Amino acid sequence: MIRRFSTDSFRPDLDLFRQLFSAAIEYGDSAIRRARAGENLRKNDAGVFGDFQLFFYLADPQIHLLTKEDFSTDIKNSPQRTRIVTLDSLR
Amino acid sequence: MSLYLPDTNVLIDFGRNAAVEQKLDAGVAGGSTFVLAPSTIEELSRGVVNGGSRHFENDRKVFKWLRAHRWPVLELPIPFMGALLGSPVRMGRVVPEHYHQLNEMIARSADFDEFLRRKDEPGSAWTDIHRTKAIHDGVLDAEFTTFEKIAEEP
Repeated sequence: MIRRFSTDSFRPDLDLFRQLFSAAIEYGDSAIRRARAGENLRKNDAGVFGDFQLFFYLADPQIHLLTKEDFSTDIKNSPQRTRIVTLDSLR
Repeated sequence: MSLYLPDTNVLIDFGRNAAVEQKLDAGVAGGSTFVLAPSTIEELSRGVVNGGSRHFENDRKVFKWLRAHRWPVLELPIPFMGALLGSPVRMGRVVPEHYHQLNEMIARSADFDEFLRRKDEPGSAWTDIHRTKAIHDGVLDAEFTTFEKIAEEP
């Protein structure tokens, strides 16, 4: 994915990429593990790509993702996980 | 005060569950603000198209709420990411203003027929919105094909 941002004169910083998009990367890795374990994501979790896209926006440190879903089994390590919150956290 | 990015499942309940509207309004009253992802507006719009005339009045409630506050719409993920990475890459011509246009189109239409008329007005970026499910399914098929290839890699 990082190659999408490269040009002849520009190469994205891999460490910066991992840091900025840690939640999305962890979620993507989790989805790949589920697929490798035989889960049919297209059939059972077609929303996986929509969720995946939203996690990239957590690169903005002000943004909290407001959701009804529980992603705690997919995103356990990213520091951004604390900004994935439910409606009850609305102040 | 916090900045929230609601996912579709939160906003889809807006017209169905009064408690959701109350919580969102309480958040606004408390100083919280919101931003929207293009994919969320698209997904809500698919619901409007699929629901047709029968559910239009209820389906458009959340669009009226979004219009009333005019929350900012974020860039699509690739340009959003590219800007943070300092990359000059920009894919496609879709910009956040197009999603404001879609929101306006739904929020200001009195009924489903008016919505269908508005989509074809000059300057509309959404003339294909009635085909949104087929277009989305095509995108998903392509994404899952790519994903399966990645999953098969050692």
